[in-house]
Amino acid sequence: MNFVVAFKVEAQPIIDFYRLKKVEDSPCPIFRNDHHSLIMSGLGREKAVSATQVLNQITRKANQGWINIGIAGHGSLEIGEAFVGGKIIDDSNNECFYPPQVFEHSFEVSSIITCTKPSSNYQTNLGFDMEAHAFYKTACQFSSRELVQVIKIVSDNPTHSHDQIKPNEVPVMIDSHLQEIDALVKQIDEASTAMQPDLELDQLCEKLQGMHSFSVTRAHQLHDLLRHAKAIGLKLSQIEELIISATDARDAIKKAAHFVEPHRTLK
Amino acid sequence: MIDTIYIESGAEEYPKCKEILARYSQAKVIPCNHYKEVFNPSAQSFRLQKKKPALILAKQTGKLVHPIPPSYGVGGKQNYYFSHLLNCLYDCRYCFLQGMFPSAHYLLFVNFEDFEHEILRISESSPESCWFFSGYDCDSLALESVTGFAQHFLPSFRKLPNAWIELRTKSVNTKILHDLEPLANAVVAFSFTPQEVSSQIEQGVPSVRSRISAIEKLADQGWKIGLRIDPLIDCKDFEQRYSNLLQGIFEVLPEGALHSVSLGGFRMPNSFYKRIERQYPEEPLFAGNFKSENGYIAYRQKIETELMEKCSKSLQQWVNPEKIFNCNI
Repeated sequence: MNFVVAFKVEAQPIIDFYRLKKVEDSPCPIFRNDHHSLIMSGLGREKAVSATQVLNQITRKANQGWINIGIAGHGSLEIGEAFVGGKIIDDSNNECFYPPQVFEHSFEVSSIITCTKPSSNYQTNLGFDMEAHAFYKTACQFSSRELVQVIKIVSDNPTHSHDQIKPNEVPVMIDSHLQEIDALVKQIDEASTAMQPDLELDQLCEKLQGMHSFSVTRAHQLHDLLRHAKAIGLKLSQIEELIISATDARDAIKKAAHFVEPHRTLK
Repeated sequence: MIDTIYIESGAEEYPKCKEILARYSQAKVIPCNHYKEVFNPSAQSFRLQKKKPALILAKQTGKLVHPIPPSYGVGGKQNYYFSHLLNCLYDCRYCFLQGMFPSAHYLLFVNFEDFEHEILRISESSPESCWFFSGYDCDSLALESVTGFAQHFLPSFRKLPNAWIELRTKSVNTKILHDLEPLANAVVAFSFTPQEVSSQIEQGVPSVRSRISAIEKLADQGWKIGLRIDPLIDCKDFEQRYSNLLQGIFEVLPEGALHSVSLGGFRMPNSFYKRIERQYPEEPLFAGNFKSENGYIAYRQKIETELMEKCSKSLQQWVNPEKIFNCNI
């Protein structure tokens, strides 16, 4: 999971929870372990965009999970309550995103508007922040939309304005939701893993392409044959042997195709 | 069943929308400006959304009723389809909807009255009987408990002697039909593959046995029944499996209750097929003996012809050939 978080007080509980270690020599503060990465973006749209791009360059994999966590204002929810962004609006142009809600969680789902400046213009059923829209728009360039989510904890509302927020209360607010956030993280990570390319297949294909001189078309044919063979439960080692024994790429495809052919009928 | 409902601006005024919101009062409701903002964006995973589709309530402002391809009818000359609902409760791996739509959310157009007006207009202006197919982009009955589609539309068709409606389904959720007097101008058409195939590639679909039981009850009540053996799937023991399937059906279905049977091979536009295959690279069905021709993926001609011939031959033991229709590209 990739976390994009604006401030240290919001990030620290997550860093502690996942035991993330600081990565030296990065343009923004980045913390990582084997499974998760967190970047502190700073305040506002531009910084959220930049931090999301930086973290993507470091992690470099399509369809990873992405979550923007932080505090936000809200017109209806109580202080300390958490919500997932179901509709994310940009106040500068009214562009909207709707992160698909396909995972199980018990957070409230609310609309949220990303503002250029802090706002005290609280509206019913609407959250306010300064990064969510820019984060979502950027992260969706790297991952399927379901895997990108925004979780906010209400820090201010009509009875408790944003200038009353005490920084030392923020880590406690975030920390109290981390178990449930982690349950969502696990679901997103599982979905992300299922969307990754089949490494075993790709590596075998690459290895076999080294045996003969494959054109681009034949390389695709080889990959398809291996994928089909695996899908119908054939042993890839048998195809490997056939390809090794072939005289050239054309013969390799012919032999592999001949081997797969009788098994193509659905069981 | 429905956790999240998106409501398009303006749709909330429709009675159908109000009725659904009242029924799913626990659902998370998210307003949207236009359904396309939710349904159409790229980079959505149909496969992931299929695990937990949301419901989008919107108004169809585009064309409401469309002509169907000439080879897809079941005897009528004027054939149309309409889609009050996009997407399906079931998860059939061969289904073209997975490749056609960017989202697996259920998109329900709540302006039922506009569909009715258009159907009325077309049927009144036609000198011949018109057929209206309702299960093209969805299953006609599977989401009846949510949409109330059949409950709303069947009484309207009862008043339209010049119009036929086909409800195409794999559902056994037929209570609404049992509660109504059968319509002379309606066909309840059940789609089938043999149980051995269905178990592999039709997730969530009721068993063949339970669908046959539903057919038996509907036929007893007087509903006209259609059978849609479509798509034919090239499978192990093809002849035996399809023969068993047909035997199981015709043991309980008197020919008098049978309106029509249609047969069709697996076929799909290349672009849809590629999109689906990318989402399900491990799917054995897609290792089948397919070829691409004229922009469509289908079984190789020799295989498709064989499947059609074997199934037709088996069918003719039970059915007058005049009731059998081949649906080809």
